[in-house]
Formats: sequence, C-alpha cells, structure tokens
Amino acid sequence: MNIDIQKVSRRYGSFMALRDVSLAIESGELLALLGPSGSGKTTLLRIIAGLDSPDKGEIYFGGTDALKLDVKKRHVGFVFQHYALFRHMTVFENIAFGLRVRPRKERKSEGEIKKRVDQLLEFVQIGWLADRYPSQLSGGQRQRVALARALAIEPNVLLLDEPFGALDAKVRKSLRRWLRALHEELHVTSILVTHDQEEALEVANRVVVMGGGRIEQVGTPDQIYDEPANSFVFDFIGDSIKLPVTVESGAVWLGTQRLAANGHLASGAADLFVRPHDLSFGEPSAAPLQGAVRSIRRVGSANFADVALELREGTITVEAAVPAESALRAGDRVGVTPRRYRIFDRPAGEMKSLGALRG
Amino acid sequence: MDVALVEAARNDVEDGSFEGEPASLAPRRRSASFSKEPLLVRAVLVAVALGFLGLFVVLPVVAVFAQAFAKGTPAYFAALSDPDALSAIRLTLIVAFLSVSLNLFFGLAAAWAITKFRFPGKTLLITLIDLPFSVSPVVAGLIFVLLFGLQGLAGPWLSAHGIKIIFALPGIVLATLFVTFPFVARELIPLMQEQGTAEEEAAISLGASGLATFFRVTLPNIKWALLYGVLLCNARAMGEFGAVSVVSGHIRGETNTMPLHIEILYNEYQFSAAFAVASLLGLLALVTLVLKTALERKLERHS
Repeated sequence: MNIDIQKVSRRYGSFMALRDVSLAIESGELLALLGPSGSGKTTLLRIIAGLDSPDKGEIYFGGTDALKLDVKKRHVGFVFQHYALFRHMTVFENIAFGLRVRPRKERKSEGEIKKRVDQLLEFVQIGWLADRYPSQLSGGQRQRVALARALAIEPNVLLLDEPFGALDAKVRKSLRRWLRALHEELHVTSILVTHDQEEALEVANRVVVMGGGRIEQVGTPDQIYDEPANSFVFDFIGDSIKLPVTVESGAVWLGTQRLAANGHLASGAADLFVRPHDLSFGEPSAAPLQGAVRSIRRVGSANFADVALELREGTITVEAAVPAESALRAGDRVGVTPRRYRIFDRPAGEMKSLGALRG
Repeated sequence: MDVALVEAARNDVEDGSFEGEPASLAPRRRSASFSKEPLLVRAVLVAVALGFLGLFVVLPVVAVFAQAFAKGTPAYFAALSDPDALSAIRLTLIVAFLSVSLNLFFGLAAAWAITKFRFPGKTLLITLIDLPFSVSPVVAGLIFVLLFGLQGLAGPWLSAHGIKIIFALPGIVLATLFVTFPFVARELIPLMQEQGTAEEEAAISLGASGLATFFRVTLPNIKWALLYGVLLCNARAMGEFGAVSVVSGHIRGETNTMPLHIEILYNEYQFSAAFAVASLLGLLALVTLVLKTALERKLERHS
C-alpha cells in the first residue's frame, strides 16, 4: 500500500519534533528513515502507525485518510525497539495475539489460528521456540518473534523502530541480510527507522535522511552516499573532513590554491567536504594544502594518517585514509590534494558547487 | 540438552542489561552477597536484630495467645461466640470487603492514569495518594465527622433526608477507605512505570480494543503486585482503630469493629475475652505474613 504524508508537523512542548514533513512512500518498497537522535524519525513512524497524532498535516493510506482511522483499524505491523513482547505469554501466544483479538465474526477458528502461527514460526525459523517465554529467548530470537507477531495480522505496512538497535554486531549483520531477503519475498511496504547509516544503506531501497525534524534528502543509498544534498547529509553519512574555503569573486580558494571555479558561489566563507579516502598525498609544492604527518595508525585493513594541515585560519588536524603500500611516515611533510569534494555555503548549507581537481 | 539451552538463554538475558532488563532488580540480586565483616561483628548484629524482633514482635504475639487461653479453651470460644463479638467480626469483614473492593478499583484507576498518561496535575495526584500515610488516623476520622456529622457541613442536609453516615456503616467504610487508599496504588505505580506502555501499544497496534488490552496484557503483568497491594490493604482495613474509632460511635452489636470491641472488653477488665478476639487479628497477621512472603517470591520471579 502506498502512503502519502503531507506537511506533517508535531510539537512536544517547545520542541518541534517534525516540521512540515512531506513524503511519498511507494507500495512494496523498503524505506529507511535515517537520522541522529532527536531528528524526528521515530515520531514520524509513530504517527504513521497511529500511536501518535500530528498537530498539522495529512496522511493517506492508498488514498484513504489515515488520520480518521484509529490504530487498530490501520492494520500496521509495528516492531518495537525493545520488541515489547507480551512477557506472560509464550512465543506461540504472542504471535497468535493479533488473530485472537479480532472481532468475533472476523476471527478464525482455533485450528486455522494454529496453522497460521505455525506457518509464521517456520517462516521466521523459530518453530522450536513455540512454547518458550520471551525471557527465555536471546535478543535475535525476540526480534524474530516480534516480526512474526507483526506479520500475523497481514499488515498493510510494516513499521520497524530501530529493529536491530539492541543486538550485538554479528547478530545485527545476519538479521539485516535476513530482513532484506524477507522483504524480497513478502513485498509488504516497510519503513525502517534507524540511526545506523550502514544499516540504512545496506537494507533499504530508498533512504530518507532526517535532521532537526526535517527531511534533508531522499534518495537511493548510492545517491545519498555519492551525491549528498547538503552539508548535514555529507557530515552525517560516512566519514567526512570539513575544510574552510574562501570564495572571492567567483573563485574558490583552498589554502594557496585556486579550486575549480563556479559562478554560482557568493563571496565569503564556505566549507569544503571531502571523504578521508578522497585525499591524495604528494610533493608539498604541487598541492593546494601542506601539512605534517603526526602519526599513522592501522585499523583493521585500512591505514589512517593524522595530518596537521596548515591553513590561513590556523592548523587543522584531519584523519586521512592512506593506501597500505604508502611510504608515509610520522614527521613527513606532505602536500595534500582533495580529489573529489563538495563545497557548501555556510549558513544555509545549500550545495553550491561540486568538482574534481584531477579527474 | 534442552534445559542447558534454556539456562544459556537466561544467562544471556541477565548479562545484557541493555536488553530492556529492569535496572531496579540489580540491587536486589547483589544484596545476596554480603561484605566480609569479622565473625564477631556479624554475630552481634544478628543477635541484636533477633533479640529486638523477639522482644517486640514474637513475645507480644505469644502473650496475646497465652492470655486468650488463660481461662481455658471453653472460655476462649465463649468469648468468640458472644453475640457482640460475632457482630464485631461480621462488621469488620463487611468493612474490609467493601473498602478493599473500592480501593482495588480506585488504586488501579489511579495507577493506570499516573503511569500510562501525561496530564497536568499528575505530580499533585501522586503526592495526594500518599497523604493518608502522613495524616494521623484520628484526624482522618475527624475530617469525616466535620463533613458528615450532625454539626458538620453536610450534616443538616443528610439528617433531613434520613441518611446516616457518621456512627453508621458508611462512615466506618469511608474512614477505612481513606486510611487504606495508598496501599494498592503505591504497589502498582512503580511496577507499571517500570513496564512502560510498549506492550499496550503493541496490543493496540495488533488490533486489540482498550478493554481487551487491559484484560489480556496489562492485568496479567500486574496481577501479583495487585494481589500484594490487596493483601496489605485488607490487613490494614481489618486492623484500623483510630479513624474508625472516631466515626463509629462504639455502639455495641452495631458499629463496633473487632479492634473497637477488643478495646471495650479490655476497658471492662474482661482480659481473656479481649485477648481471644485479639488472637483472631493476630491470626490474620500471621496469614498475611505467609501470603506476603509467597507473593514477594512470585513478584521477584515475574518482574
């Protein structure tokens, strides 16, 4: 079912959790709402579910006004952050709950309920846990029960609030892949809330980056990573290095060197954003930036160098990725060139220019 | 093999406090392992504690039963089967039943409102629930006399309509209600706060109505704490003296509860009869104690 969110706002006291958020969610897609805490992503999810209501705005589920439907009529499958399993019920009863509380005339027979629950238990691969209580399960198993319980009511839309937040790294990775596979099989419209960019970029078809109650960017994972719309997204997604630049009569100055010019930039201070692995090192005289290598560290398969860059504004130490075979040593003087970068205006954070110095 | 798996899963859960495990359990678990004090210190502490308990709790209870049977078993049962005594027992049971049922309802409603909703005046309500703990029962009784007594605010209107509250059953129930109000609510609020609203939200999102959510999700989660609160409430309701004494009027065979009846007998130097009735209250205390311990175990296991 497609969901249309139009100009939704929500305020808690003096805190604006959502400001005029509009978003169209297509039927069958797996969408991730990604943002730091306080960005409004969970509020938006709860409003879609009907567990919270907006102060302003409209929400349509496939054309019908969802705000006129209360929670139980919206048919949403909600997977809660800490699972919220019914602690006094077995796994079987947890999953059967949504089927048992239906109005009498819509309720299935006991045999049909049992068949459906068994099916779901098989589907989430925990058939052998049917008689356990939630307290006897591991985090990953609880997650599967929560998902099966939400799927039992054949929801129009599946909403997942930080579904992997409380799990350790290994379980999280395998469940992520499993959720993707599951979505490909079911094709139910799904919305996932997460603060973990890796999770969002890996699992979702489309990612919505949120910050300060607003949508900053909507796009495929590749678009979000390769073409961040503004400084917030660039900063939030992946590692980034921010360098101050000056715009003077249409030219961008980084250190001593002029970068690719762009006529749209207003004169004044701006920020250049570059990924750590998009910096290259060479002779100090040939590069726009000069600096000294402070130290070199190995983190797993990658090497990182702390480089103190000498800028007009003072010294800035950045962490750059260096190739494993590089001959750089602590104490070396190097020239640093950003290969791919983006420049954003300071106050508005709007994208003004993008370019590459060499290819 | 299966058992081992369950154990492993349990340990998993206990290790990971981030998995929504209530933090309040931690001190309870830790209290099992005491620090290593010298033997002498421990012995002295235990002796002091036990000695104090023996002197002020065990000895009096034993004394009550000894006094009750001082004139022999027939006298004991004669004292209990006295019409005034029977009427006092009956009245106490009626008052306890009424005030416990009403408090069950009000306590549940108050705890529900406080823990599941946000509303203005919530802090005030929490403070007010505790008020009966800090007000002397005699004052509590006087409040009702001032409100409903003949010279009270509503007195003239009540007597004009032939409604009797003070020196009658309604007054006794009201005074008992006031004194016992905190027990159920106080027991439920911390537990319900700790459990949060996630399970209720899950139930509603799965299509359950408000009523179904209450009976299928909320009530099973709080039933042991609720029973615990009811038990304490009942013990207090049956034993309440001060507030009831003010509003009852001490009419023999009519408005005397057990504690009041005991006092009258005692003042009339009928010691063994007084202690015979007192022994019933003592018995109630012992039963309450046993049930309370059993419930505490349940509570610990379920939370």
